[in-house]
Amino acid sequence: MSSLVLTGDTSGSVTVTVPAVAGSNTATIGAATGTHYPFTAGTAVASTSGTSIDFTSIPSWVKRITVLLNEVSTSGTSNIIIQVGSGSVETTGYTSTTQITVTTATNVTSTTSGFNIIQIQAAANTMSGIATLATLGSNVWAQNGVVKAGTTAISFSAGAKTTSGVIDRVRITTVNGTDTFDAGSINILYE
Amino acid sequence: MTTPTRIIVDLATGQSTEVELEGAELEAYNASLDAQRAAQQAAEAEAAALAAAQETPAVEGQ
Repeated sequence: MSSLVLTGDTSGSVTVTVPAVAGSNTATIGAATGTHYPFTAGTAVASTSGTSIDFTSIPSWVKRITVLLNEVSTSGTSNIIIQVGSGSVETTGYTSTTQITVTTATNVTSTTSGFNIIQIQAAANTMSGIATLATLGSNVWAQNGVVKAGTTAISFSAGAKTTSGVIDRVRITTVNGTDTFDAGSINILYE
Repeated sequence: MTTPTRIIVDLATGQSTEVELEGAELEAYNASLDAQRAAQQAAEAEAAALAAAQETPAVEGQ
């Protein structure tokens, strides 16, 4: 069976029941008309080499992308940024600001080459956290995130970017583009 | 010297590959490295000049 079509009346609801289990599970679909896309996890990749990690073939229907960092480390102290693009990665036109708090001290920096999601304090730092990108429509994307560096610092980030077309790729890299990933893993979720 | 690479994860296939930088990307990589070296040399030269100035004895007025 290649597909299953459920047809309901113009009122009421369509119920999908999972059989052969103790009890039953009911999923109710709201009355709104539209296309329901799945909430999808990408393929986690070890961030142990390379100067950047690209997730490509992002479907055109995607409205929100979540970037997940798990104890990621790089060879230097250049900040980690997220870049997006349509056909190719766009490296300009971001309005991105990141604040880092280290114990009681804070520092704020702005970046135009990507969404700056973490200010790295030392090459030995391992970074974990989440950055989310969501579209307002018309290829306008907003971003926010919280990522920790080591055990004493945490960065809060926010920004925006208007892309030249529909996003089909996300790149995680560093501001200088030469520091190399050397630990951890990265994945994305999209919906 | 290790050739710089990047990792590509194709969500359509689930495959990840590591490819060497080439073309414009490799040029940008090398330009960034050159800029970092130049900045480091400038910082070292400034620090050396500052240290030399601090070691120079002050000339007392007559």
